[in-house]
Amino acid sequence: MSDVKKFLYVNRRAPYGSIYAWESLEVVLIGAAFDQDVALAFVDDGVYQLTKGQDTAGVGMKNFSPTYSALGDYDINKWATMTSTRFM
Amino acid sequence: MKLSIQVNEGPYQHQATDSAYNFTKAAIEAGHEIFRVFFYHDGVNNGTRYTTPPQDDRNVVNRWSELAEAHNLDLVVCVAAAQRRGIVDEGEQERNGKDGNNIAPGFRISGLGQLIEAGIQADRLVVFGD
Repeated sequence: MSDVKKFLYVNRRAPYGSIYAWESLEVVLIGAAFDQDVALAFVDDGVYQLTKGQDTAGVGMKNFSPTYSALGDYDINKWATMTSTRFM
Repeated sequence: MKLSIQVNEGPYQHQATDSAYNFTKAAIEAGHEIFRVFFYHDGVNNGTRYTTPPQDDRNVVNRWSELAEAHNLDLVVCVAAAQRRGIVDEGEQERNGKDGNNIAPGFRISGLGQLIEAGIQADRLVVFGD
């Protein structure tokens, strides 16, 4: 497949409370492997996916936050919206 | 227009799958081409034939199967999301040593690459769900 399309993934949910954040990350990584033009937007509670020092030991779930820092290696752009981050 | 559909929510819990079905059916009737319908997140639960809703309610799963049969639709369930939620076809049953399978007619289990391909090949990828 030689076509390159733009994919924008809109993340509106906080991590761990539901699986949306984690499964979104899975599809983002696959999209990047297909050499597509991939970007992520973090809106509403989705901005919580980007907080530093996430510790999931207490809830027994996998801490997938380190993956976000690796997204730059795949040429993926990340955006968080200003109005949503104001509450962080 | 060539369309791909993504369904992110399970049946009955959320209207998204009803809207996706109605949209897909209307698009076909209007002469558009559906490249693929991809089921992700809890949307994979649309693909179990064990669903048994009360008789006076719509059967969301059978409805998809019938639409696929009538129009040769490609209904794809994400394998990673399906494994988490217990949606199993014969191949997955064998690979993971399960005692049965529950995939509904017309559905198949495949990887997320099928979603990316659906996005690339279609003029529009229409996403249903929160």
